[in-house]
Amino acid sequence: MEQARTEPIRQTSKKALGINQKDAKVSLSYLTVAFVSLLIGGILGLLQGLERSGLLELPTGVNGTWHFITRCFFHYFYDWLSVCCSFAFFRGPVV
Amino acid sequence: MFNVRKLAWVGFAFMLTGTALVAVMIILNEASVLYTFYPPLAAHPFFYVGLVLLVLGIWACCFGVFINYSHWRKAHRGQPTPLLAFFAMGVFVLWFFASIGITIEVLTLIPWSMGLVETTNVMVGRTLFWWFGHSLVNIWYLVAASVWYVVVPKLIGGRHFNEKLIKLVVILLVILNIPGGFHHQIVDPGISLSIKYLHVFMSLAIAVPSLMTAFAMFAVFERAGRRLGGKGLLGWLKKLPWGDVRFLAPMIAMIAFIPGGAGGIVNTSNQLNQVIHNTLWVVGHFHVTVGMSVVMTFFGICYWLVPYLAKRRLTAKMNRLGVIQTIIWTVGMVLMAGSQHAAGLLGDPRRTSFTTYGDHSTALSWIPYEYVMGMGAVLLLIGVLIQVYAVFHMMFFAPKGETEFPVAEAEDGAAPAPMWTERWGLWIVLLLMVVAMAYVVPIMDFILNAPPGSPPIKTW
Repeated sequence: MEQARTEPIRQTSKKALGINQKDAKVSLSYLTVAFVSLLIGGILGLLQGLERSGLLELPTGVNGTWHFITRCFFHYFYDWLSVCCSFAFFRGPVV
Repeated sequence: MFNVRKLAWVGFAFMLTGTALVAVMIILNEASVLYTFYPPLAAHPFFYVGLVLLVLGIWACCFGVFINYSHWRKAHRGQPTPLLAFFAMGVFVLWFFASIGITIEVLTLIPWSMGLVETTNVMVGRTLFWWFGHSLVNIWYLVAASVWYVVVPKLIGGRHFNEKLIKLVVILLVILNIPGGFHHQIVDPGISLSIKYLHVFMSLAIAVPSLMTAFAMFAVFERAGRRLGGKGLLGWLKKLPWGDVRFLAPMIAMIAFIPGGAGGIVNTSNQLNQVIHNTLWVVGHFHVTVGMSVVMTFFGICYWLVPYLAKRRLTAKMNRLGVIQTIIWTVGMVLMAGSQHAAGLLGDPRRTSFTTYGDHSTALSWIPYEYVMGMGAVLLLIGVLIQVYAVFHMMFFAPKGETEFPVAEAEDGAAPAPMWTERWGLWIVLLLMVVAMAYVVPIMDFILNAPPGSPPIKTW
């Protein structure tokens, strides 16, 4: 009886292994954009830190917006990765 | 005609174009409107068009998932939705309804920024932004929570907690989330005290599913640890796989959610918010909640999801690098967020360029904390570089092979969640009722008793 009651859940977890390659490509594309954004955000943060410590002078035209750009790219990271994960988590079990 | 994968690609194209357009406008200094782009600060119309494209991209993904879910339900009548997919449904439902607020805001800002409309209602704009802004953070949190509930138990050799409770947590997070945004406006003028009181209550309601999560997760850890031979009051803790980055990163993320949640209660409380409002405390708060709880879970996910999707394996060497990265990130974030909290309590403002206010003694007292923030930032940058390297290494260079998609099973004999938990139509109606309760009166008030609107302003 107990075996029978838990069976559908076991089947579910086996199905979760079944994400196909086409779905994997979608998820990996979102994930790539997320981590490229994280890298850009990190580099911009570094430039900003160097500028504030007087080690680097940034072009005046963009000076005031650097912290904003940094934050934007970090933000892109969260958005793209959350869509990537949710898509993979959805398509894993619900094929 | 429409399938979930095609719509996900459509969403990808929209989001990528939108992301690029927004970034270019900022780099060209045509969008000096800060992160929240509150009117009357005005950006170039293309900045707002980029935001529209981002939202359309998200919606394409949402519709794909909703259509797929409806087909799955028809083909699997009487079966409960698998837990991970249930979480994902919650995430996409929240994405869709949360982004309605910002869509309305942006659509009103486009003609205003083009000069077709002379003025805009500033208070309505701020309110619609936070309808979305706060929920967005909780969307990321819900993704992280899905891993805590469903993946982490598998990694520690345990079983997931009661399915009914887990689905109830998802439902509560979806229904209660959107009004939480109002606590960001708790010192705004033009909102009556009774409305603010209502919103404090509605924001604090989010603490209920969060506390349910804390209880459930530590119960799962204790059960698994004791099953593995852990004895005494805390002996089970030693049995957990601390050397496995897939567990370590989300575990630290969960622990960080304890001070993060407590700080959130401070921010939400009317009187306490007066002390910390617009100070670096708030920045410290979201470094703990987002920078630790969410991001460290996302990092932990990468160590199994990337090799799984790329058909590669996580090696022991990469696991070790992941553990080092997790420690660096944790120390960096503790330094960064801890000093921000402290400086904020001393009055250090956020959204402000560095200044000593004419060498005022109070402003000078913030400087040591700002040095610590700098040290934290250096460590975090190192953490970013390691993580990006790890992800692309696992995607392209790790040894080929099969990686497990870890999904925990229920305890033996556990009953599946009752079918009433699957009534998404009902949860959406309740969500809309809660949103109406929270927003109809204040927004109508802002419109009917509106002060003169504001023309676009560009500060630099």
